[in-house]
Amino acid sequence: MRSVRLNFSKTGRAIYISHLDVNRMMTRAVRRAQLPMWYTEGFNPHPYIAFALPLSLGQSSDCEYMDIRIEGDMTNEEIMQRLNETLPEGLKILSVGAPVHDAKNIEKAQYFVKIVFANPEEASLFRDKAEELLQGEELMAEKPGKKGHRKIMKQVNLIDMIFDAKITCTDSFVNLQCVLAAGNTHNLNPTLLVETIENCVSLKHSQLHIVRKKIITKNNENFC
Amino acid sequence: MLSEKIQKILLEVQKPGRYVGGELNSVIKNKDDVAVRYAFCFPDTYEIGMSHLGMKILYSVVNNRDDAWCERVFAPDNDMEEKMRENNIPLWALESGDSIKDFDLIGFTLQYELSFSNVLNMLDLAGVPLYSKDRPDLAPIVVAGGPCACNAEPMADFIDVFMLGDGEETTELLISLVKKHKELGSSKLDFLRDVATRKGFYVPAFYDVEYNEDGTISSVTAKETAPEKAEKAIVSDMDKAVYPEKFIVPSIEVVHDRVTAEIFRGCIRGCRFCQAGFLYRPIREKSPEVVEEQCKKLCETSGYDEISLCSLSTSDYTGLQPLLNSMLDWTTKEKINIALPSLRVDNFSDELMEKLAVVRRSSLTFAPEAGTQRLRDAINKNVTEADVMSTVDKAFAGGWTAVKLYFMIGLPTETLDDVAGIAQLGQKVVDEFYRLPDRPKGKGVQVSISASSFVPKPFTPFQWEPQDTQEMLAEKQEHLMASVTTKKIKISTHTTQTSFMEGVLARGDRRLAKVIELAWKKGCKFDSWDDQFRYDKWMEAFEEAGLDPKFYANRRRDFDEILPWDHLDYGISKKFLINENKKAHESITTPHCRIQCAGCGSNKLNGGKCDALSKA
Repeated sequence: MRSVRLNFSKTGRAIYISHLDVNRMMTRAVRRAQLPMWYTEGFNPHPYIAFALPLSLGQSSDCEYMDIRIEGDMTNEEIMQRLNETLPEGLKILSVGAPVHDAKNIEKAQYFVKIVFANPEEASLFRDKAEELLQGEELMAEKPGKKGHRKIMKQVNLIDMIFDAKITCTDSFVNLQCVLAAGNTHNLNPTLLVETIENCVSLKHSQLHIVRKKIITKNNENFC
Repeated sequence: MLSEKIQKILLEVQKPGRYVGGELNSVIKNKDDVAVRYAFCFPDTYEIGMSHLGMKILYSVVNNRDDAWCERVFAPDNDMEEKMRENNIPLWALESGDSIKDFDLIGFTLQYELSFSNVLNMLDLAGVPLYSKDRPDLAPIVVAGGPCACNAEPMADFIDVFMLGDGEETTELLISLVKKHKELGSSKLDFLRDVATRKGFYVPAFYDVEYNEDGTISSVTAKETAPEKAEKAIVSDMDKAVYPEKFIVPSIEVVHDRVTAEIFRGCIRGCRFCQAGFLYRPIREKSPEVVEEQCKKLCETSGYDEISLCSLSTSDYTGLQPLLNSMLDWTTKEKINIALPSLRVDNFSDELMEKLAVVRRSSLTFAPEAGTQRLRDAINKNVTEADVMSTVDKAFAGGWTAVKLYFMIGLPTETLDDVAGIAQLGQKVVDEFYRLPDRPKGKGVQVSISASSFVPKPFTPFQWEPQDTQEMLAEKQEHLMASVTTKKIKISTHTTQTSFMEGVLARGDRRLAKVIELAWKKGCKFDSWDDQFRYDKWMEAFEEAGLDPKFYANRRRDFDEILPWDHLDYGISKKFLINENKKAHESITTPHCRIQCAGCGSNKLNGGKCDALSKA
């Protein structure tokens, strides 16, 4: 039995499939591909599949990671080829290799965000406000959190979770390239960042396209 | 591909995966390469519609042809409907993202009466006029099939053509006829005249219905090219019937997410309450070799790890043992679970149970249907208390600690004693568990009793019977609850209001079209969802239409009354149904079809052949 890490992309119609559903789709895909999967033991045997960092519904990504355990000696190339032959539209395996990093060491993720406004004025208003806010010390927002077992809304300072952000603006579009906290302890969804800035200037985008480009570890290495 | 407009609203609704298509094995064609575009509509949400086997079969039938393209359409949930109306986005088909009003054919499957309002809502969302008479052109033709087409009358004014019986061959023919008449440049009337002469099709506009003063029907007259009686179509040989080699694998979770293999059509049992048991006659079995081959193929192309062997009464399949023996060789190795829904208590064997528990243990459900022997005899369930006990014995000894039992209340001739009998039978099952020396240790027993309300349906021996009023049903439900004295029995019942509406629509006539339209205008849709059903709105609609719903639900019909579905021929003779009804009132049972042919008449549809006789 060996562990294999697969890097895949999620684009097109597949971005509307939730993380849990991607999990189920992959379980079926490995069966169709007839990979020699290692099965968990017990009353309900199932193939071992684990994901590095869930992606929000509606976002695209080039950096999704899934670990599987296989028995036998199928090559990485064959695993990749077999899966790509059977995956539905929008999911594609980009590379296959032995896991290098532990998912516990994920610290941040890079996103390319394209925000579409109704007109160029709104776009530049957003850019100006965003630049001002991101220079500051504090940008508070509400996030769902937990106190013990109770679900509560907590106030968090988004600035603490932004590692880098570059904003440009053309016509009615704003492009935001940013590195935000990601992982189990701190996680900032780019949608929350965009909407928090929008609320400060009473704007509402007409479309929001988010692509996750990289997952980065505590040592500033690309997760792989 | 999905338009910009659609993409914009997708992230503003719950579960957008329901609206985007692109699932594995969905079929994409070039619309310029096909002659006929068919929108197959399931009038409920994606999760429910994608569980439906009939759609998968007919999707293959159409898409196997090069000249036609079948796409799927489901009822959008309320949040999506709101966004669609707000942004003027008409209902689209999942594969192409194109609006369905430009399709040649729009087909609905009518699986339950309470989905009728959704059909209207979907036509409206598509921008298609509701009434057949308001659609003068050859396209789109609106067709409907499924079990509720057997009494299509409440929907008759909305639908151009109904398809009666098995859809495999009629769908094939329908596509060819549409293609032909498109090429000929025919009018809609020309097309309907042609279709009406074909077996398995029913053109409601070609029948005039007259009423007596008391609201009953005085005459139904066929006109144009229509036959006096429209006969249902059947697939004669199940081994040769089209069956998909690939199932669309939904990207999001749906209700039944697994390989479904149909092992036979029809039922030998003749339970008098069961509409399906009569509608799908005569018995036609698929051979075990074909079933197994189809299952293998479907598992390979889908990646599913569960197979459901599906029929109206799976343990009555003559090839079940050899099929299971052969299949378990590979399913066990590949960790594939086999589920057997619809098992009977009188032929549930030890071997069968062992095979069920090989990979994963699924739940066990049995349906005694009634609480006392007298009532079980009246409905011809042909199951004894001893059968129930010996089955639960085996189940408990085999390690099960939870069983589900299905019953109905409101059956003809039922008394409060029969209702109390349900609780008593449940109690006996509980007692049986604790009496067994080899019961599973360290666990209590859980008996879940589901008591639904009986709704009399067309083409059954009970089609003349009054449905219990809501007050009677409520009283019986209370009596059942009061008769249970242990927490080990859990009871669930249905709301009486939905059962009442189901009863009205099931045996309704053409005048109900007005009521359905009014109710829809008042906002009725998703009526089969308890949280969305608006009884008050439906009652207002009846009031405004000047019709009494109790006339349809709670009235006893005479045997010589003309019933709204009498001009449809499902192969079952009326004489047989009358005889069965009389026997019910005397609690006399009819042996199942393998012991003795009961003479229902349906074998005439298959050239005198019936597998209940040839495979006895």
